[in-house]
Amino acid sequence: MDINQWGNLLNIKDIVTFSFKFLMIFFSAFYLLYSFVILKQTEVMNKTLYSKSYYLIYLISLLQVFFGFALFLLSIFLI
Amino acid sequence: MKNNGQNHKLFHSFCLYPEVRFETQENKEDVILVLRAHPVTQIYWLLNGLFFILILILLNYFISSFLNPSQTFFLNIFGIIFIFSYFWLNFLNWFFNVGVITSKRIIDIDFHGVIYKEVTEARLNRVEDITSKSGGYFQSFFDYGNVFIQTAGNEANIEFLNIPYPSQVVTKINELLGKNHGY
Repeated sequence: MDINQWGNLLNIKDIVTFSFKFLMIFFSAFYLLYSFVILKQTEVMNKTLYSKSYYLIYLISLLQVFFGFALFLLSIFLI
Repeated sequence: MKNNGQNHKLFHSFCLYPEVRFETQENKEDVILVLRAHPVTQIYWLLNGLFFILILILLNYFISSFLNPSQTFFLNIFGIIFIFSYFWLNFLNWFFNVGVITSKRIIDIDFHGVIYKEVTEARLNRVEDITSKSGGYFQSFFDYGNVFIQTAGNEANIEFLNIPYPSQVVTKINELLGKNHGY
């Protein structure tokens, strides 16, 4: 196998695509985990200091979890 | 709960008789004052967020040459969500780091980096000394500063940092101490 064939096998564009996908899946999974931690912590905070904006704050933290799921799915299926 | 004279100032950083409850609230204990850091002290993360938005916009000029459209789209979505999370995390940090003054106690609730929670409290009858400190151009101009509450014995001292109207806070605590001590 000569150098050109190796070059074809290890196409630089494929390497970039694969690395990008791998990194994005990793970061999306990490973000999803982080959003769950924030949601849980928001509950703790709301319990510590309960105000009228409880539901709004909880909703926004929940929105983060949805974003996390969306990112994770996009990273697997879109790119 | 006593709601007469309910008053919120400076984006809810100085709330008189607010409608809030806290975890360890006792019966017949009224929340009189809830304090958060002055909004002007939070400008740094708003500016950081705007800086991140600028970076994301600039990044688009460079990444489009070596990433395909779907990758560019994903990276933008990721960037936007990351910036949103940055804003939200800092907002939560500001919103839940409060000082609470009730008819019976003074409570300092701190969340460090959102994950760690620290609640310090002192009964009014244990308060020995209150000091307010305000100095520098910004603190004088926007009227914010620190209030230190020293307690008797082994109880932890309490400090409210960068709160608005520190002198009003000291006056309010002194009023409560007066009522508590019966003078």
